[in-house]
Amino acid sequence: MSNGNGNDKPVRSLEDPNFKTCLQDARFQNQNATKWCFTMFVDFHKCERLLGEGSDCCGQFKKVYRAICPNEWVQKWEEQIEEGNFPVDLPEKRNK
Amino acid sequence: MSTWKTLFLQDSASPLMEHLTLFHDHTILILILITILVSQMLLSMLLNKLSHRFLLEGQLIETIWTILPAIILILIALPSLRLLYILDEINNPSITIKIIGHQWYWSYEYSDYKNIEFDSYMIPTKELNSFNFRLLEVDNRTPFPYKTQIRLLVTSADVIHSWTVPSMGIKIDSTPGRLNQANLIANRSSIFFGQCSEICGANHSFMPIILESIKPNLFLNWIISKT
Repeated sequence: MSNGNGNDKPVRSLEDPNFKTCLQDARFQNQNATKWCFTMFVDFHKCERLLGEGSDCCGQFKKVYRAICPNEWVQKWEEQIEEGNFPVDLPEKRNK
Repeated sequence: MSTWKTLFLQDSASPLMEHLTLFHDHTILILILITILVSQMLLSMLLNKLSHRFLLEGQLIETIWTILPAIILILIALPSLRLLYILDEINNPSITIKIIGHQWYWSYEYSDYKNIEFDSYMIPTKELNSFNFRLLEVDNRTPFPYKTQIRLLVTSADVIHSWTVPSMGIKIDSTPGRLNQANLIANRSSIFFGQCSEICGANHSFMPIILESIKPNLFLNWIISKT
Protein backbone atom coordinates (compact mmCIF):
# COMPACT_ATOMS: atom_id res chain seq x y z
CA MET A 1 0.00 0.00 0.00
CA SER A 2 1.15 3.51 -0.69
CA ASN A 3 1.37 5.93 2.20
CA GLY A 4 1.05 8.95 -0.03
CA ASN A 5 4.73 9.70 0.15
CA GLY A 6 5.66 7.23 -2.54
CA ASN A 7 7.58 5.37 0.15
CA ASP A 8 6.58 1.74 0.56
CA LYS A 9 9.07 0.53 3.17
CA PRO A 10 7.56 -1.54 6.01
CA VAL A 11 6.97 0.29 9.29
CA ARG A 12 8.98 -0.76 12.36
CA SER A 13 7.69 1.50 15.11
CA LEU A 14 5.25 4.29 15.85
CA GLU A 15 8.17 6.73 15.70
CA ASP A 16 8.88 5.68 12.12
CA PRO A 17 8.63 8.84 9.99
CA ASN A 18 6.81 6.84 7.31
CA PHE A 19 4.10 6.04 9.78
CA LYS A 20 3.83 9.28 11.75
CA THR A 21 0.74 11.27 11.07
CA CYS A 22 0.92 14.89 9.93
CA LEU A 23 2.01 17.54 12.43
CA GLN A 24 -0.26 20.33 13.60
CA ASP A 25 -0.35 23.18 11.11
CA ALA A 26 0.27 26.61 12.64
CA ARG A 27 -2.27 28.13 10.25
CA PHE A 28 -5.07 25.86 11.48
CA GLN A 29 -5.08 25.83 15.24
CA ASN A 30 -8.80 25.57 15.81
CA GLN A 31 -10.67 22.62 17.12
CA ASN A 32 -12.62 22.91 13.89
CA ALA A 33 -10.36 21.25 11.33
CA THR A 34 -12.76 21.43 8.38
CA LYS A 35 -10.92 24.22 6.63
CA TRP A 36 -7.55 22.60 7.20
CA CYS A 37 -8.71 19.46 5.42
CA PHE A 38 -10.27 21.35 2.51
CA THR A 39 -7.27 23.66 2.04
CA MET A 40 -4.89 20.72 1.94
CA PHE A 41 -7.05 18.94 -0.63
CA VAL A 42 -7.20 22.04 -2.84
CA ASP A 43 -3.47 22.69 -2.41
CA PHE A 44 -2.68 19.16 -3.49
CA HIS A 45 -4.68 19.48 -6.68
CA LYS A 46 -3.27 22.93 -7.43
CA CYS A 47 0.21 21.57 -6.83
CA GLU A 48 -0.30 18.58 -9.10
CA ARG A 49 -1.63 20.76 -11.89
CA LEU A 50 1.24 23.21 -11.62
CA LEU A 51 4.09 20.74 -11.14
CA GLY A 52 2.71 17.79 -13.05
CA GLU A 53 1.01 14.64 -11.75
CA GLY A 54 3.00 12.48 -9.36
CA SER A 55 5.36 15.30 -8.41
CA ASP A 56 7.26 14.57 -5.19
CA CYS A 57 6.61 18.06 -3.83
CA CYS A 58 2.87 17.44 -3.69
CA GLY A 59 3.25 14.30 -1.56
CA GLN A 60 3.16 16.27 1.67
CA PHE A 61 -0.22 17.81 0.83
CA LYS A 62 -1.56 14.39 -0.04
CA LYS A 63 -0.23 12.89 3.17
CA VAL A 64 -1.98 15.60 5.21
CA TYR A 65 -5.33 15.48 3.48
CA ARG A 66 -5.35 11.69 3.48
CA ALA A 67 -4.62 11.69 7.20
CA ILE A 68 -7.26 14.21 8.21
CA CYS A 69 -10.06 14.24 5.61
CA PRO A 70 -12.83 11.65 5.90
CA ASN A 71 -12.58 9.34 2.89
CA GLU A 72 -16.17 10.08 1.98
CA TRP A 73 -15.41 13.79 1.58
CA VAL A 74 -12.36 13.13 -0.56
CA GLN A 75 -14.40 10.84 -2.79
CA LYS A 76 -17.11 13.48 -3.18
CA TRP A 77 -14.62 16.23 -4.04
CA GLU A 78 -12.79 14.05 -6.52
CA GLU A 79 -16.08 13.32 -8.25
CA GLN A 80 -16.81 17.04 -8.34
CA ILE A 81 -13.42 17.77 -9.91
CA GLU A 82 -14.11 15.12 -12.56
CA GLU A 83 -17.54 16.51 -13.30
CA GLY A 84 -16.21 20.06 -13.31
CA ASN A 85 -18.40 21.41 -10.50
CA PHE A 86 -15.77 21.67 -7.76
CA PRO A 87 -16.31 25.01 -5.96
CA VAL A 88 -12.67 26.14 -6.30
CA ASP A 89 -11.00 27.22 -9.56
CA LEU A 90 -8.08 24.91 -10.23
CA PRO A 91 -5.35 25.74 -12.74
CA GLU A 92 -5.40 24.00 -16.13
CA LYS A 93 -3.83 20.54 -16.21
CA ARG A 94 -0.25 20.69 -17.42
CA ASN A 95 0.42 18.71 -20.55
CA LYS A 96 3.58 16.70 -20.31
CA MET B 1 -16.70 1.85 32.88
CA SER B 2 -19.82 2.83 34.72
CA THR B 3 -21.39 0.07 36.80
CA TRP B 4 -24.19 -0.07 39.34
CA LYS B 5 -23.98 2.56 42.07
CA THR B 6 -21.40 4.63 40.18
CA LEU B 7 -22.49 8.01 41.47
CA PHE B 8 -19.40 10.02 40.60
CA LEU B 9 -16.95 10.19 37.73
CA GLN B 10 -15.50 7.02 36.31
CA ASP B 11 -11.89 6.06 37.03
CA SER B 12 -9.72 8.19 34.83
CA ALA B 13 -7.32 6.67 32.36
CA SER B 14 -5.83 9.77 30.77
CA PRO B 15 -3.97 12.78 32.14
CA LEU B 16 -6.74 15.07 30.92
CA MET B 17 -9.42 13.14 32.77
CA GLU B 18 -7.16 13.22 35.84
CA HIS B 19 -7.25 17.02 35.64
CA LEU B 20 -10.99 17.05 35.06
CA THR B 21 -11.53 14.86 38.12
CA LEU B 22 -9.39 17.16 40.28
CA PHE B 23 -11.31 20.18 39.02
CA HIS B 24 -14.62 18.44 39.68
CA ASP B 25 -13.61 17.63 43.27
CA HIS B 26 -12.36 21.18 43.83
CA THR B 27 -15.62 22.67 42.60
CA ILE B 28 -17.83 20.19 44.46
CA LEU B 29 -16.01 21.03 47.69
CA ILE B 30 -16.80 24.74 47.23
CA LEU B 31 -20.41 23.91 46.34
CA ILE B 32 -20.86 21.78 49.45
CA LEU B 33 -19.43 24.51 51.70
CA ILE B 34 -21.76 27.12 50.16
CA THR B 35 -24.78 24.83 50.47
CA ILE B 36 -24.05 24.12 54.12
CA LEU B 37 -23.52 27.80 54.90
CA VAL B 38 -26.72 28.88 53.18
CA SER B 39 -28.87 26.15 54.72
CA GLN B 40 -27.47 26.93 58.14
CA MET B 41 -28.42 30.60 57.61
CA LEU B 42 -31.90 29.71 56.40
CA LEU B 43 -32.48 27.39 59.31
CA SER B 44 -31.31 29.86 61.91
CA MET B 45 -33.50 32.57 60.33
CA LEU B 46 -36.53 30.32 60.50
CA LEU B 47 -35.97 29.03 63.97
CA ASN B 48 -34.76 32.01 66.02
CA LYS B 49 -36.96 34.55 67.74
CA LEU B 50 -34.48 37.43 67.72
CA SER B 51 -35.66 40.80 66.43
CA HIS B 52 -33.91 44.10 65.98
CA ARG B 53 -36.25 47.07 65.44
CA PHE B 54 -33.60 49.53 64.26
CA LEU B 55 -31.47 47.31 62.00
CA LEU B 56 -31.14 48.99 58.57
CA GLU B 57 -27.65 48.23 57.34
CA GLY B 58 -24.42 46.50 58.28
CA GLN B 59 -21.62 47.96 56.15
CA LEU B 60 -18.99 45.42 57.11
CA ILE B 61 -21.01 42.25 56.53
CA GLU B 62 -22.39 43.67 53.26
CA THR B 63 -18.90 44.34 51.96
CA ILE B 64 -17.81 40.86 52.92
CA TRP B 65 -20.75 39.08 51.30
CA THR B 66 -20.30 41.05 48.09
CA ILE B 67 -16.59 40.44 47.70
CA LEU B 68 -16.47 36.86 48.97
CA PRO B 69 -18.68 35.38 46.18
CA ALA B 70 -16.55 37.21 43.60
CA ILE B 71 -13.42 35.61 45.01
CA ILE B 72 -15.11 32.20 45.06
CA LEU B 73 -16.11 32.61 41.42
CA ILE B 74 -12.54 33.47 40.49
CA LEU B 75 -11.33 30.38 42.35
CA ILE B 76 -13.63 28.30 40.14
CA ALA B 77 -13.16 30.19 36.88
CA LEU B 78 -9.37 30.26 36.73
CA PRO B 79 -8.75 26.50 36.98
CA SER B 80 -11.71 25.97 34.66
CA LEU B 81 -10.25 28.21 31.95
CA ARG B 82 -6.85 26.65 32.40
CA LEU B 83 -8.36 23.21 31.84
CA LEU B 84 -10.34 24.41 28.84
CA TYR B 85 -7.15 25.46 27.08
CA ILE B 86 -5.24 22.35 28.13
CA LEU B 87 -8.00 20.20 26.64
CA ASP B 88 -7.64 22.02 23.32
CA GLU B 89 -3.91 21.42 23.05
CA ILE B 90 -2.63 18.88 20.55
CA ASN B 91 1.12 18.45 20.24
CA ASN B 92 2.78 16.17 17.80
CA PRO B 93 0.35 13.26 17.56
CA SER B 94 1.54 9.86 16.27
CA ILE B 95 -1.72 8.65 14.81
CA THR B 96 -4.86 10.22 13.47
CA ILE B 97 -8.14 8.40 13.92
CA LYS B 98 -11.15 9.63 11.99
CA ILE B 99 -14.49 8.92 13.58
CA ILE B 100 -17.68 9.23 11.58
CA GLY B 101 -21.09 9.05 13.20
CA HIS B 102 -23.89 7.37 11.31
CA GLN B 103 -27.48 6.51 12.13
CA TRP B 104 -26.85 4.30 14.12
CA TYR B 105 -23.27 3.16 14.29
CA TRP B 106 -19.78 4.62 14.37
CA SER B 107 -17.27 4.09 11.62
CA TYR B 108 -13.54 4.55 12.04
CA GLU B 109 -10.79 5.36 9.56
CA TYR B 110 -7.06 4.99 10.11
CA SER B 111 -5.32 6.32 7.03
CA ASP B 112 -1.84 7.35 8.11
CA TYR B 113 -0.19 4.36 6.54
CA LYS B 114 -2.72 2.05 5.04
CA ASN B 115 -6.28 3.05 4.57
CA ILE B 116 -8.13 1.06 7.21
CA GLU B 117 -11.88 1.55 7.50
CA PHE B 118 -14.38 -0.32 9.62
CA ASP B 119 -17.84 0.08 11.11
CA SER B 120 -18.58 -0.56 14.73
CA TYR B 121 -22.10 -1.85 15.42
CA MET B 122 -23.60 -2.80 18.75
CA ILE B 123 -24.00 -6.53 19.37
CA PRO B 124 -27.71 -7.24 19.96
CA THR B 125 -28.66 -8.70 23.33
CA LYS B 126 -29.63 -12.09 21.84
CA GLU B 127 -26.13 -12.64 20.47
CA LEU B 128 -24.25 -11.69 23.64
CA ASN B 129 -22.02 -14.05 25.57
CA SER B 130 -22.66 -14.36 29.29
CA PHE B 131 -19.57 -12.25 30.08
CA ASN B 132 -20.45 -9.39 27.71
CA PHE B 133 -22.01 -6.09 28.70
CA ARG B 134 -25.51 -5.53 27.38
CA LEU B 135 -25.92 -2.50 25.07
CA LEU B 136 -22.19 -1.74 25.34
CA GLU B 137 -20.52 -4.48 23.31
CA VAL B 138 -19.61 -3.76 19.68
CA ASP B 139 -18.53 -6.04 16.85
CA ASN B 140 -15.39 -4.06 15.96
CA ARG B 141 -13.51 -2.46 18.82
CA THR B 142 -11.32 0.56 18.20
CA PRO B 143 -7.70 -0.27 19.00
CA PHE B 144 -5.10 2.38 19.75
CA PRO B 145 -1.67 2.37 21.43
CA TYR B 146 -1.41 3.59 25.02
CA LYS B 147 0.94 6.40 26.15
CA THR B 148 0.80 7.79 22.64
CA GLN B 149 -0.66 11.07 21.46
CA ILE B 150 -3.57 10.46 19.16
CA ARG B 151 -5.48 13.00 17.12
CA LEU B 152 -9.19 12.32 16.87
CA LEU B 153 -11.16 13.90 14.07
CA VAL B 154 -14.88 13.55 14.54
CA THR B 155 -17.57 14.17 11.96
CA SER B 156 -20.95 12.82 11.00
CA ALA B 157 -22.56 11.55 7.84
CA ASP B 158 -26.17 12.36 8.76
CA VAL B 159 -27.33 14.02 11.99
CA ILE B 160 -25.44 15.33 15.01
CA HIS B 161 -23.99 12.62 17.23
CA SER B 162 -21.58 12.97 20.11
CA TRP B 163 -18.60 10.70 20.56
CA THR B 164 -18.06 10.19 24.29
CA VAL B 165 -15.69 8.15 26.39
CA PRO B 166 -16.00 9.31 30.02
CA SER B 167 -12.86 7.68 31.41
CA MET B 168 -10.74 9.37 28.74
CA GLY B 169 -12.35 12.75 29.35
CA ILE B 170 -13.62 13.04 25.81
CA LYS B 171 -17.00 14.24 24.68
CA ILE B 172 -16.97 15.73 21.24
CA ASP B 173 -19.87 16.51 18.93
CA SER B 174 -19.87 14.87 15.55
CA THR B 175 -21.48 17.38 13.25
CA PRO B 176 -22.23 16.81 9.56
CA GLY B 177 -19.97 18.94 7.35
CA ARG B 178 -17.56 19.79 10.14
CA LEU B 179 -14.41 18.12 11.40
CA ASN B 180 -13.82 18.38 15.14
CA GLN B 181 -10.37 17.75 16.47
CA ALA B 182 -9.63 16.23 19.88
CA ASN B 183 -6.77 14.71 21.72
CA LEU B 184 -6.55 11.19 23.15
CA ILE B 185 -3.91 9.66 25.41
CA ALA B 186 -4.36 6.57 27.54
CA ASN B 187 -2.25 5.94 30.63
CA ARG B 188 -2.69 2.20 30.60
CA SER B 189 -3.92 -0.71 28.55
CA SER B 190 -7.59 -1.34 29.05
CA ILE B 191 -10.99 -1.29 27.43
CA PHE B 192 -12.97 1.92 27.64
CA PHE B 193 -16.68 2.18 27.06
CA GLY B 194 -18.72 5.07 25.80
CA GLN B 195 -22.03 5.87 24.21
CA CYS B 196 -23.45 8.41 21.79
CA SER B 197 -24.35 11.51 23.78
CA GLU B 198 -26.50 13.52 21.44
CA ILE B 199 -30.04 12.38 20.72
CA CYS B 200 -29.70 11.22 17.13
CA GLY B 201 -32.84 9.22 16.43
CA ALA B 202 -34.55 5.97 17.28
CA ASN B 203 -31.43 3.92 17.95
CA HIS B 204 -29.47 6.64 19.74
CA SER B 205 -29.01 4.35 22.75
CA PHE B 206 -27.72 1.51 20.63
CA MET B 207 -24.51 2.91 19.17
CA PRO B 208 -21.91 2.31 21.89
CA ILE B 209 -18.17 2.92 21.62
CA ILE B 210 -15.42 0.57 22.73
CA LEU B 211 -11.85 1.80 22.80
CA GLU B 212 -9.13 -0.76 23.35
CA SER B 213 -5.76 0.65 24.36
CA ILE B 214 -2.99 -1.81 23.60
CA LYS B 215 0.79 -1.97 23.50
CA PRO B 216 2.20 0.13 20.64
CA ASN B 217 3.87 -2.82 18.91
CA LEU B 218 0.68 -4.87 19.11
CA PHE B 219 -1.11 -1.95 17.54
CA LEU B 220 1.47 -1.91 14.76
CA ASN B 221 0.92 -5.63 14.23
CA TRP B 222 -2.78 -4.93 13.94
CA ILE B 223 -2.17 -2.20 11.36
CA ILE B 224 0.15 -4.45 9.39
CA SER B 225 -2.24 -7.42 9.55
CA LYS B 226 -5.01 -5.32 8.00
CA THR B 227 -4.96 -5.38 4.25
